[in-house]
Amino acid sequence: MTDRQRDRMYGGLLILLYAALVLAPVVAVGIVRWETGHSFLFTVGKNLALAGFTMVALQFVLSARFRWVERPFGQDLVYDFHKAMAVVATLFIVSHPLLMAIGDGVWELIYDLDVGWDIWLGRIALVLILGHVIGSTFRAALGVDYELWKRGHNAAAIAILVLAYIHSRNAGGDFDLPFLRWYWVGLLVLALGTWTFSSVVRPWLLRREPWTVRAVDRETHDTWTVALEPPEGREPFEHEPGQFHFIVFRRGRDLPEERHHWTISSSPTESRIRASTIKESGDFTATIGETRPGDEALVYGPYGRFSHRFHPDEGDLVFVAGGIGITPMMSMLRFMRDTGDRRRIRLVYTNIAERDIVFREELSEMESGAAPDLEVTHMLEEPREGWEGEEGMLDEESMERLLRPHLEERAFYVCGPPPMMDAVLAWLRDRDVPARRIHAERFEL
Amino acid sequence: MTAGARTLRIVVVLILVAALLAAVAAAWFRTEHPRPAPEEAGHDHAAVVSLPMAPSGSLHAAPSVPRGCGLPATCT
Repeated sequence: MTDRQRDRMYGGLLILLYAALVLAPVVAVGIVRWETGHSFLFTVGKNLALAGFTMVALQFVLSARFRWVERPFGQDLVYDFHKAMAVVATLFIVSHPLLMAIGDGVWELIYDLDVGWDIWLGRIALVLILGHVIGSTFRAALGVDYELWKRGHNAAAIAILVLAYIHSRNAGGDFDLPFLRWYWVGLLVLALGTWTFSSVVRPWLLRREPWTVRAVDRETHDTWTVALEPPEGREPFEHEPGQFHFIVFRRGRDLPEERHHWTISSSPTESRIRASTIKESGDFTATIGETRPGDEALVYGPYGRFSHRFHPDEGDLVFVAGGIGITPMMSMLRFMRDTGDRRRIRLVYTNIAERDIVFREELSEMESGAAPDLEVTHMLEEPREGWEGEEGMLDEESMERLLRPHLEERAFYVCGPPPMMDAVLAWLRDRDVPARRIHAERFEL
Repeated sequence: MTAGARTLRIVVVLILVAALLAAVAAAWFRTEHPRPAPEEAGHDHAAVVSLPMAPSGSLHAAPSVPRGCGLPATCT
């Protein structure tokens, strides 16, 4: 069995485990319980709440960045699943009182103020989860600061879990079943334990062994490469080229201390250094140039599946990169160079202006080297007078010219600004390129 | 669309449908497909104590009903 087959089987088992955990309480009450004394619709509403609460508890596991969870899928897919299941859980939980009210005609459940405290807790949890999902979906559009949202998101998640737990244990009519009682306790412990580990224990462990910034090099006018090394006597984590890691810089000097994820732009062939190339693109990254050698950083990883190393059956490749989206490609190219991998690589690299091109000289050197067999096309939106590369943005015409010759046999790796990625992925899909030959990495988690 | 994104959509839809089906099927078993009454199933009828239903779905501040009395046969 190959590594890929093993990963697929492991991923399938994790999905089955998730489904089994969600279905277990619903199936259990269906099998064990007899009549409920309520209508069919009322009972469906209760059952949906059982599945919905289980999903809410499992959200904590999905968002905890466990490597054993993300390994077969990639962290971006796990987060996408987390977001999708949040919507499904919300649908189930909103349906819960509605179906109960419709089924037994107890509309007071929705509007009556004179109800038990446990019903009120359920109502508060319902409002919180609705606000939670809407806030998360429209955070960027509403212009809410990410760090502020993250703190609110964590606090609201705990509140929803605890309120829904107390509500269900007190108002729920099926909790005389020992299985369900213990299942609920297990879900609560799992969720709170996971939160405690990822928010308290893991940061504490990381703080005990901080990495050290060894170098900070300017790549362009707004992009820096920060090289990090683990403490003496400790080996850095193994990784594949194209993967990313989480870093918390602890620089002092009143500089912000936030957790962010960045691609590891160095090659795995580096023995002790793990470097990230970071563009000034937000409040935090605007300070990245103020990082100094000797500063501390908490580093953990690797994460992600955006690497040719996860697809050993692929031969020649096409890389389409936009702006700082070049970093995972650069890690893969450096790895190919260092290991003598002579496969043919077509790199289409788009930027706004010449001064934005990251790794320009190194790419040029690689082009003239033997491994990999690299062909680079630079494309600029705002070229200077006399620019000899491509001009404009990746559109139908330029993709036809640059990418079509490789449609039949090569795999495509795409990373860059969302509009560019959407355009390229849609173009590939419209030309029936099999999904297994398309790999994309979005930096937003 | 990448293979991962396509698989993700399929998995989400499958879990959504499976949970919905399970919720509906379980409700059907519990309401439309009642099991035999305790005496028919050989239970000691004398042991069954008639108590109100558990506060399942009860709206108002629940009367003092012992926990776990949703199933009459267990309320002994």
